[in-house]
Amino acid sequence: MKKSCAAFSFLFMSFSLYGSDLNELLEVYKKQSDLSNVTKQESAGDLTLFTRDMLEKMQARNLEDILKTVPGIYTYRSANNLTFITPPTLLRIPLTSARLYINDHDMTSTSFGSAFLIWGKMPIEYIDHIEVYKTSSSIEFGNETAVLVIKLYTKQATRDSGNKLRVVADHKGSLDFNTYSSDILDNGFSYFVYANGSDTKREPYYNTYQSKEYTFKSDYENYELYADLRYKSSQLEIGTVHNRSDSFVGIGIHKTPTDGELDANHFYAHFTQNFDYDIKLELAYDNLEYERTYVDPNGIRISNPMNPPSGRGVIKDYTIAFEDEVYSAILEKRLRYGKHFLLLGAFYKHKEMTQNGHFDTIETPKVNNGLNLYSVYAEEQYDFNPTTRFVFMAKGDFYRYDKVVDSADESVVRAGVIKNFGDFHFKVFYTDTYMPNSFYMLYNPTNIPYKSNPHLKHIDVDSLSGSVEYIQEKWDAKLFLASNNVHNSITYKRGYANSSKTMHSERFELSGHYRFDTKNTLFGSFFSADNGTDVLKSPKYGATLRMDNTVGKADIYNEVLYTSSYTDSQSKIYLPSTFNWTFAWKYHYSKDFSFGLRGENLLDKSCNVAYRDYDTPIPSFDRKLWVNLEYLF
Amino acid sequence: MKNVLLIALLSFTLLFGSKIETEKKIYDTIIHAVLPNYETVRLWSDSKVLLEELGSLRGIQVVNDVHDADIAIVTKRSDLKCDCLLFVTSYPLLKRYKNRAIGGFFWQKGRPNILFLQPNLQKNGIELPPSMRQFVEDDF
Repeated sequence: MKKSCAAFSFLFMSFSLYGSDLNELLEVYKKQSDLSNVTKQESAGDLTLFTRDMLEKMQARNLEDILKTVPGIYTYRSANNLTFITPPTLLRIPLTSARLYINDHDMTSTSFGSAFLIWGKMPIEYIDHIEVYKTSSSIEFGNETAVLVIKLYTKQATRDSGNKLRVVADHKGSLDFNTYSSDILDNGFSYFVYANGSDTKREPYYNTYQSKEYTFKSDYENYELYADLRYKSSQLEIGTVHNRSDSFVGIGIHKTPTDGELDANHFYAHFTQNFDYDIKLELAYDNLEYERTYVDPNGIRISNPMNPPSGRGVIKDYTIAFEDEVYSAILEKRLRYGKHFLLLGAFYKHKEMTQNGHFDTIETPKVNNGLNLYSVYAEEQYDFNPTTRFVFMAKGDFYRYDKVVDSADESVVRAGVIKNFGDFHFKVFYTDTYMPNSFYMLYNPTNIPYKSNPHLKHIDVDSLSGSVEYIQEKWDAKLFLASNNVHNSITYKRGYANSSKTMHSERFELSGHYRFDTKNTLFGSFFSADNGTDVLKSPKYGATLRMDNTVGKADIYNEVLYTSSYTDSQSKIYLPSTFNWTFAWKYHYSKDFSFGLRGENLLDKSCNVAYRDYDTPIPSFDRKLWVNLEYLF
Repeated sequence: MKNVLLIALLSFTLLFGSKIETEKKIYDTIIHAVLPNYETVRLWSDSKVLLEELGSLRGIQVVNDVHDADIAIVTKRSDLKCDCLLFVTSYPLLKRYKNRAIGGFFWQKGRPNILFLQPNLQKNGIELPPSMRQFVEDDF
């Protein structure tokens, strides 16, 4: 009876207020229309979603600001100033296990099999929303295999026609400038054009060796252009980026760098044509160039077969350059019939890698190799009844190299069920997949500066994952569990080789939201992992607490990232627990002009990393205060 | 108190309502604000989806011929001729019908916008309620 009265009162209230405040309705409509509602794929993995509203409240500047808040993984700075990610207890996951997409374009390089060299700190002002899928098979995304998929969706002219300027600066002298322009033209064409220039200054650290001081610098610069042109069912995207970053600790024996940097360029073009009958064709081209230098007067150890019997050498000046080209064609067809949803797809990629180097007096010649990768895949989703969906996916990948490297035929299989019981939502998936090898590990005839292995097998991964979610009007809670077995993992000991050991790991994550109302939300998560050994190379426990509020015209964002203390098994260095607190405040002076502040690592206790042969852990994130100005016109 | 009730209503709408329901409420508010004295408003649109959505609203009657309509909501057509009120759903259409449309509901600058054009409201003798005057502009 009480419930009926409440429902009646609510209906009455609804009618009395119906249409009374268009602004509030628009606000609700904006949230309901979030593009993530269209793009997210519940069956693709354990999803962490960053909606546009969240990104704007966070005043996030680059991808690293987002990745570090993803529950279940840690983001940290590698010894050579790259953005790396790892699950609890491990040092890092293989570079090729994570793939980064901007819309449907795979940003991965050929040589390294990772996009993080160039795109790890990419600016995100032109990004509408971000989806991070863990324990994914990635088949749904119709591209190469990965267990962690990061999908970034750009803003579109249909929603963002207009212009924007955004300037962000910090107290250390960093400056980040973003602008975009977008419109729908009378002739049916629409465009979105974006430009970014950023110069980021980071806290230097120092090392003293034989009474001389050396500086670890990790500043970086980024210059990016992106353009999206659409007409009816056709879309052409063009992107180009140039970035430069210091080499930080470097790879020297005593960690005494005097110079070093990564200088990288990436250009890509991606054409998509949607035909009738749900057929999609994508054609893409990538060109990447990067040059890595390290200078360490006290020695850098490299592989050198011309120096028997050790097969190793010590140099002071290290330069290696890569050039990649990738040509891709992807064809997909979607079918819906009755309770079935079927995706059929195939792609062909031709990848070229060219490399050469300069190591003190040793010049390695330009060498190159190519890969033809063929793939066919299918996904079937069957709605057994309104509350039960079965999912089955299969994929075959066929690797054919131009020379030397062994061919490989691989398969990926994923099966699962999604079931709703009232307010409970269950998901269970079994995935049998693999991680592609980086090209540089497979082919390098000079074997300088590392010894490659053309017979290297792919890393095989099988995982069982499940989650249960309980959703109420005001709150929700989710428990996620995963168990993984890794076979043929790759080690480096005087050359790349597969390990015969099977590595088993388990991880869990408990998370939940509490919604005070539409504008005020609290999110918390607690996660851990076990790698089946006593080895600890990153914290065993982590937690995230996030709160976003709107008070009048101001958005307030708070985030605390916790990592537990541990003793690094490799260096035996003790690393205390950390609390990385970020606070952001944004004031909307008008609909078009806003300004804000973002304080990062305010407690100066961010995640520390112990680097090999350096006895002091270094925080991955600086204590910084950013000022943010945004203007729409 | 009113704000608290409104927030409660909107929370409910956001969590359990759909985008279509909210869109209907927005159009319903707009239509009855520009035609306040009509018990039943005759509506025409070039979008079948919109007609199906809005046709279920109380006080709205869908018509097949634009010449029978009190208000037309235009989503695509750029050559519409009628004596009824014209309301559009995209910014390019608002530019196209700049001299005739009373306003539009469209996405721009990353957010949904409602805009009424004062000269065209005046031409049609429309006086919007005070709470909606914030959406009125002389030009755009």
